[in-house]
Amino acid sequence: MIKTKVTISNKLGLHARPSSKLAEVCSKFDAEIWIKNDRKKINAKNMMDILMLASGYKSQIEILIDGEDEQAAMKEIKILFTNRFGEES
Amino acid sequence: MIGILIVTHGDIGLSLLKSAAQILGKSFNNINCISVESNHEIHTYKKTINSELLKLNSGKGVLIMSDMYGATPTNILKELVVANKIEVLTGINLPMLMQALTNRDSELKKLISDCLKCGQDSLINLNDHD
Repeated sequence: MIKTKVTISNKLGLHARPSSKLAEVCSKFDAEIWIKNDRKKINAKNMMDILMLASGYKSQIEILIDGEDEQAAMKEIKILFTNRFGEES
Repeated sequence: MIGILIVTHGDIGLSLLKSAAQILGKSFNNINCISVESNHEIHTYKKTINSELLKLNSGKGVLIMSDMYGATPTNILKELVVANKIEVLTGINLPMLMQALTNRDSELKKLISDCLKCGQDSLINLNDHD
């Protein structure tokens, strides 16, 4: 199991489109992937579960990944956050 | 893939589907909306719904959603539920539909229960929420 904390840098937070993109990327991997905030832990392969976290700008979440392809999954997920899901330059 | 049939008053279903497609950035197959209008005969809708159910069922079943319990679209479906043992969720909202659209490779029973939970969980009074 690997985990990392990320801060949401999208001005609009983790809203519908980034949530959809994140769930889509997570679903490509066999590993189990969760997102955790201070209230709950959800399945990162489910877009609506991600959306319902209502993670705002500058809020912090933790990504936890467990499975054979966990390193590859983490790498790709980090890229999404670093690139702000392609929404802002 | 589970088929989806949305039966609502007017264009509610079409509008929800259009918004979901816009958010998700894609269009969807194996889904249809039936707009129930007050000036049409109910029996014609039953025929249309039955025919759509056959078209949309690719072997994994069809999830049917309507807008309002007690109203005509749901009442039409209620009669079909008794006759055909189909399963229907009422009170469709955008989160419920998006849950359905993004988990169509699931099992029908699981999808129904997940959609119901998602639709209910999304009803929130922001004033009572952190």
